[in-house]
Amino acid sequence: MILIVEDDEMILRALEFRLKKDGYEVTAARNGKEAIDFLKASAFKLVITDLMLPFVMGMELLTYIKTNHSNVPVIVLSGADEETTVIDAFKLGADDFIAKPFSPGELSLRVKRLLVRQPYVG
Amino acid sequence: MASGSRNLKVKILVSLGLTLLLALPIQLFSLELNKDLQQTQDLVSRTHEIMLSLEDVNTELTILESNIRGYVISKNNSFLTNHSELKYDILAKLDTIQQLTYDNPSQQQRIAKIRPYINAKIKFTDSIIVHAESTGTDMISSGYGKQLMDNIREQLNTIEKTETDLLQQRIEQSKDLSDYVNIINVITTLLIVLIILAAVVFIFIDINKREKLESEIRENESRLKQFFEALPIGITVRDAAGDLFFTNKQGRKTLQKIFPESSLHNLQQLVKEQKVLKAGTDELYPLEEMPVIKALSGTSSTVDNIEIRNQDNSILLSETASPVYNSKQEIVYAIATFDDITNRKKEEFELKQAKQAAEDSSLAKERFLANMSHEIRTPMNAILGFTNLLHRSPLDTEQQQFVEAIRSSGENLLTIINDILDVSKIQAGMMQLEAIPFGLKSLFESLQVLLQNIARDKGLKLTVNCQENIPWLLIGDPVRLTQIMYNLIQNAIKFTSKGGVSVDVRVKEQAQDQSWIEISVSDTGIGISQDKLDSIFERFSQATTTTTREFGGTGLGLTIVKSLVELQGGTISINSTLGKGSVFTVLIPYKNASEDDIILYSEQSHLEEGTIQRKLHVLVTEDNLLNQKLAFRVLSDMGFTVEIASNGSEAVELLKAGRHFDVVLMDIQMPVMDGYEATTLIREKLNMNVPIMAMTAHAMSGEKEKCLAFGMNDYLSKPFKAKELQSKIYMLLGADAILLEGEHPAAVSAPAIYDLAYLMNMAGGNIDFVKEMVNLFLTHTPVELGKLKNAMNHADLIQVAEIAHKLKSSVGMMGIKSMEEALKQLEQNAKVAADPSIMATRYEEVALLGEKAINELISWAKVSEVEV
Repeated sequence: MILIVEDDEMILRALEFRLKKDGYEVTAARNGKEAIDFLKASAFKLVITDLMLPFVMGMELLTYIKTNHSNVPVIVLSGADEETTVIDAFKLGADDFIAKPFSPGELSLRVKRLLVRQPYVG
Repeated sequence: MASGSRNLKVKILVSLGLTLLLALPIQLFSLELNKDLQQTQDLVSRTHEIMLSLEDVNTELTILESNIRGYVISKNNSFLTNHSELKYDILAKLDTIQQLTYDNPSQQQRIAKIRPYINAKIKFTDSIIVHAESTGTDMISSGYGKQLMDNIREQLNTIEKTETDLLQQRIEQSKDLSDYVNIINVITTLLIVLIILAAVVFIFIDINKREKLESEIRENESRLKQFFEALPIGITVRDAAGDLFFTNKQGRKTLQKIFPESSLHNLQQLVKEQKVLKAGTDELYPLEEMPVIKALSGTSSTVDNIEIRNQDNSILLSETASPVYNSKQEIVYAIATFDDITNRKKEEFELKQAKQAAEDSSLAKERFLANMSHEIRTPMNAILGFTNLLHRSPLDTEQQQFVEAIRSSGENLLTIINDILDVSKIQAGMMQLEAIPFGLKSLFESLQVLLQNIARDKGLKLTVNCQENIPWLLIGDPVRLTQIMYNLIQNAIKFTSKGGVSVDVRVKEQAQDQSWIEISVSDTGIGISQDKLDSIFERFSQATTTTTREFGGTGLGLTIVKSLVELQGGTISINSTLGKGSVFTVLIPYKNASEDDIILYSEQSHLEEGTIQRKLHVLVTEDNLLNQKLAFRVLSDMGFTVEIASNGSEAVELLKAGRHFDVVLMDIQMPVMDGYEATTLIREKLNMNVPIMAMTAHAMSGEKEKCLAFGMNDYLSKPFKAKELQSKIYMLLGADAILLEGEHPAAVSAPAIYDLAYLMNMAGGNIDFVKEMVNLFLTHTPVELGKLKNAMNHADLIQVAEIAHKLKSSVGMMGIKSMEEALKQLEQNAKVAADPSIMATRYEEVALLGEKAINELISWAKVSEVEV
């Protein structure tokens, strides 16, 4: 199961569509707080999160995940012009990043790579 | 039989041998006895002879005595006339006796003893004669003579007595012997008679046995003959010369059919008279190929092409012949069974003709269907296309209703045609199933998106629940599954007025290589009464006749669904309560995807992910003017640039002239040069690999394969739906578009402000997703723009930067490059707190572009809703 955290409805929907098409189970959270609630409730194999989120910022969420669910890989989403933020995210333990607008092939590839142990989880 | 006769011969020989063997020693013995008897009898007769001689000697001596006496008395010489004869005779007789008794020494002794007396007597007599005158009388009176005589007599008597005894003895011996011979003779005769009797008895028994055997053989023969006669198949037996040896009843009957007066007995003659031919020809039947002839050389064989002709009559025979061997393993006969197959052949011929006719008519039906579908689909394309265009033009309410009525009737008609075609394809066994990897979940997602609107329009809730553990990838025919599910879900929606339709997908059974997927479609609709449940899948059957009036439809949908399910080796069942709803349950086995399939599928999905980031230039090859206009309009609306060729030849000329097209849409039936020929020329003469998509109203099976075989890349049947055409074009160009990127920078740019290529690519052909995204954009953007306006008015720079940042990604997804750029600058400006007047200009630009984009996308959304 993959958790997507994204406040932009369109990006969220696009991510969801693409990942579902690849056969993954997807849960969508629209802000950081909601994401933390989901993480507390169930286990996820991967988290994809935007960095600019309302209420709880992406960086905070990342710190929370890496502290409490250290084995869950995280992919951060970022705008093309947010190089510095991406580097910060990596410092906080992000496993990978995808620049927006993302290419669907790239998304599939990066997700697959991180889920290599269970590549086709239904 | 052979052993019987040998037995008999042996018996005769044995009895004869025994008789001979017995008779021979007995005869030898009796011969021996007879010889003894003869000897004895010889001895007896000799004894008689001896006795007679003794008597004679005695008598002659007496005569001699009396003669002497007479002479002495009378002195008459007449008494002495035979005196010397007598003397001689007496001595001779004595010699005879002596000879005869040579084997008896005692008699010989006696004779030797007597002889001096006789000599003395004769001497005395002689002296009497000499002295007759003187002392004769005295001499006689002296009694010397008498004394001599008495001695002689005494001796003679002794001899005689001995001989008499001997005779007696011999006679007895002879008698004994003779009795013995008789007894033996009797016994021998008896024995022989016995042996002969025994032999006769045995021989009689044998003869009886033989007679019984012979009668049995005769019985058997007659039985066998009856068997042969009773067989309903003709049997002939021919000897080595080909002459008829035996024919059974059926055989005669069959032959009489063709030779009513008399049958030809000799096979060779029959052939020679040109009466045996190869069936259906005037060719003489080669002797060496005839089963009978082959059988005579030791091979069994069967043929069914013998024709015997006699004047106007002819019969066809099938014949089987085998050799018949004698006890020495020599072939003596050939037995042939034959059957009159004239009628059978005739029927076979008729059957063949009937089959040909049936096949022809099936082919004609096929052609008719193909033509009909072509003829109907071509005008339908124009009707539906233009109705849709008309629908979008400004019309008053009544006109709108009319157009809607035309549209829905047209679509119904198209559905009916498609259904009929499907049914006929299934019936003809021409429905081909694919076995390709596909994702079950994504298929149902697409279905949900596809049918969501229809359900929503009726106020129904459509839910799809996929079980957790359904395989990610399966091998099967996704198109047919979509067709099945589309039909079932659409039906469920159609017959449900409130509540919802729910689709549940789960794995019923998972094996090593296949998974049974169970899909149930439940609705809360009108339901079907129990008595109609059985016939629900029958053709042209609907729950009630009023159903048709109320809900429309051909009644073919469920038949097609059932056939499609069964074609895939699955089952379909229904559970329903009248007034409560129905549950259709489909169970289909799918092959599990292997590692290779998964890799292949991933590669495929990567292909379709190729980014198409420029306008496409499309060549439409189409002869029908209306369809030309329609294609032009539809493709332009998709943001493509379009050129038209009226036939294959024009298309080839355009390509030959070096014009670049990203894709060629090719009609098949065209004047001057059809689509097949044009494709062949493009591929072979021009050696170009430009993607060609067939667009044809020929919807029969095999058409797609034919198009692909001619070198086309894909196939679309008319009337087509705009989104289907669009996704096919994207599918077709996915990979090539990346490769060609930058090669044609001069490609005509779109008039539209937006570019959905990114989304299209993301959707991988799923237009509904694109529509959803556009709708999302249309919902959210005005709100965000409003917020932006508000922030600008309040000079809230942080808000401006944030909103601009957020908007940027949505706008980027829609490919609205100009607006994206403007937003980026606005964000930057806000971040650095730039001059408010510059910010205001930037904002104006953003607002203007935003409005334009929204307007254009609204019209895009409207076009894409319409199915052309």
